[in-house]
Amino acid sequence: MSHDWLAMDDARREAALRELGTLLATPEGDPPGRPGASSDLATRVRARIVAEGIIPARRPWWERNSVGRSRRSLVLATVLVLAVAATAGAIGLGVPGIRIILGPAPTAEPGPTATSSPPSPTGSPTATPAPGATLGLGQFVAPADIERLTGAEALGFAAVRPDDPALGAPDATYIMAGRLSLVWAPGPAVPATGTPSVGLILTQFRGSIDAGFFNKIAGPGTTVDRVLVGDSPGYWVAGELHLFFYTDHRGRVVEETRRFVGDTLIWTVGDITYRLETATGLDRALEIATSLR
Amino acid sequence: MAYEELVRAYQDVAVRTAHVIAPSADAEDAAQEAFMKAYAALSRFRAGSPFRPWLLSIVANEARNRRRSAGRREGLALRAAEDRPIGDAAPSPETAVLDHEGRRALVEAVNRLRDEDREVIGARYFLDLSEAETAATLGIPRGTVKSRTARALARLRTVYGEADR
Repeated sequence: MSHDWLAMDDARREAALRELGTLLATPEGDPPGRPGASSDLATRVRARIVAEGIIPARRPWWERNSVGRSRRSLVLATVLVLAVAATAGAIGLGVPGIRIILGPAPTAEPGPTATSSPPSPTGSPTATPAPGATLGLGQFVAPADIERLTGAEALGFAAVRPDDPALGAPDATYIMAGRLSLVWAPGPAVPATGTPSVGLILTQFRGSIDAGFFNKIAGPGTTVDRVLVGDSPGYWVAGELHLFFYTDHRGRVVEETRRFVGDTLIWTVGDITYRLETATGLDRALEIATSLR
Repeated sequence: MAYEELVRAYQDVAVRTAHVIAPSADAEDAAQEAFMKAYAALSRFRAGSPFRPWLLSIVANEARNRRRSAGRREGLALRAAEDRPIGDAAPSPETAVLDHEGRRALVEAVNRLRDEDREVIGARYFLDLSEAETAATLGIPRGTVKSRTARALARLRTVYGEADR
């Protein structure tokens, strides 16, 4: 420790500045232990938005009542909050809390799906990239490695797959940090979505949904309904949604740019959360979801 | 309202950003105004781009506007209680880079910098933003962040050295 900032080398000088940043008085003053005045900033912003009647360019869906989703012009969207809260597994495993906030949708319409590239029914993965390869789902798992890399030991939980003859086996498999994503190309069983060559994505990971946050959900162009998947509670999120913000277990906000695949069915069984993204509509999504074995 | 959740997620960094840019203005008030403006402008937010720098650029603008009317009487300051840190983010005496005197001198030197220099030092080091985030927040090209940071550090060394004698 020193007081001679000038005598330090560049890296040390920069470290001293970063350190200083953690020691600056906060604007609300510093009585330690005080929750901090900024903790009600959110409440005040909300109150002002309500009081001043500020509407982000379009009336929110909950005020539009019977007015249908007419045009899809500029999509704005407020925000939608799903939350996956921290839970402790039965065997004492701490599960990082994840909060998902779905942010504004894109300003341009997701154009109609590319109609020019029908999926190859034989699934011969030659030169064309695997379905979903550009979506940041994680590492592509070659067919030969699927058994080894997606087993319970590798993932930390027992993965399941739809037992749905029409759907068949997934066309691509991805893993990322204990998260398994299965992707199906569009075909007779699943309609095309906003993402070329992707018809359905099933993601499974350890985590659980905190129902409390679903009650606060808002967002023009997005609807959320509570549903039961078998006897497990879940949500059907339909409409426009694009950005996810996760809060990790340290409370840091992690942003994830999201694809636009379709509507989303999200549900929890035990401490595993499942997310199914598709354009099939709710009924078919539920059929697929309840077929997981 | 779900926007409330988003505000909650970003309010700390927003208030700190406003404070670093305009230490003598009411940072919370600036942040609040910025959140209001961001809400009204949500449709202009480009999906797929990161939300934080977009928000912080609105905060920075708001803070700059206030800086003009608030003058520059008050600068950044160390926490009271002998700059004793709150929470575990603070360095322990063994790992601290600077002692108390050094910190005070450095804060004073930062306060004597021009706004432009203090902003980039604040964004890069006090807020720990990446170069890209700093560029978006301050509304300058990314390459400029590098050169401006280097220049600001050089000036800081000068100002710090002058105060020493």
